[in-house]
Amino acid sequence: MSAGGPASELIMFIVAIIVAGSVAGTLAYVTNEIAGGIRVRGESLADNLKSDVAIINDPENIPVSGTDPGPYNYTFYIKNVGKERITFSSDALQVFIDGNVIPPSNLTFTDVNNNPISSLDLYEVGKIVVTTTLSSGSHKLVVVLENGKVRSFVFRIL
Amino acid sequence: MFPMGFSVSASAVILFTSILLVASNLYLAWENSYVQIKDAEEDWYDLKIFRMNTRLNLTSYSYVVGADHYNLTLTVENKGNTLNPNYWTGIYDGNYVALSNTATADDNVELLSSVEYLLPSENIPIKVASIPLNTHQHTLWVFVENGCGLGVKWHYNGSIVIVDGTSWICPTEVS
Repeated sequence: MSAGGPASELIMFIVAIIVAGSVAGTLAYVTNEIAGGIRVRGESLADNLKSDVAIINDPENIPVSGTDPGPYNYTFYIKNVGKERITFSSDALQVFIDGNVIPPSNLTFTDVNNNPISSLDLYEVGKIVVTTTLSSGSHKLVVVLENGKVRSFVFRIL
Repeated sequence: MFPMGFSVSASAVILFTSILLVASNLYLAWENSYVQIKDAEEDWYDLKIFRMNTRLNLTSYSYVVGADHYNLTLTVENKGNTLNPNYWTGIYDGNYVALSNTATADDNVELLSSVEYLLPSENIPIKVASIPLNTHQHTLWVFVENGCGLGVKWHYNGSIVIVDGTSWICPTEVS
């Protein structure tokens, strides 16, 4: 047998191992990405199913403050009725009235004692104070949570 | 030194091990997500069923008229599943009120019982105190822990207190 025989076999072996290793490494990387995606999607879906809020205002008597000609501060009460704490801030919640988004600068998130808060515990009630001007008549408030859950509330301004 | 068969076997072992690891990794991720979502789904169904089986009814009311105000006591009956009054919330004439009778005296509305659980068909009295003696209509909403609420409207007509009506609401999904 010539001297080149074992060397070429060694080269073939190394190449085979490198190719197999590369395929295995790529497979592991892709799989980790997919597994991570499955986990994230699962957590997101579970979070969506577990979180829920209720808008608990009296639809005919929305607390309002401010002086003419406005804008006025309208207070809406949000109760966490889900199974998880929810983020309660303008970064996480979007508020719409009659289809128009309320800018974060016109929203104030507090607890019922007017202390600023950033989350709502289970069964806790928080206040969203919306600074805007609403005409007399019926309006629709829509609150969108961080996970996309939507709650709406039709109320009347006298 | 290394026969070709050995290279093939070694590569096959690496690939086979890698496929096994990949499969187990994917299975674990799927299994965890499945359990998590099933658990959340169960909570979601529980909440829906809880809301469908939740109902409060106003069974009676009484009042005491003073010189410049009156006190009203509403007796509410649990017509559904067991409820926990510690997690109830009141909205009186549009404003938040703490219903718990152990809460600080921040308002004139309180539960006249400190039961931890309100069993089906049990009653709980709710007192609204110091209502100005005029003919204005007042509204009290009592929201239970799952977001459903009983609304009661009443007014004083100059001689007696009259309950004008009750309402019942529950949150619903919006897509």
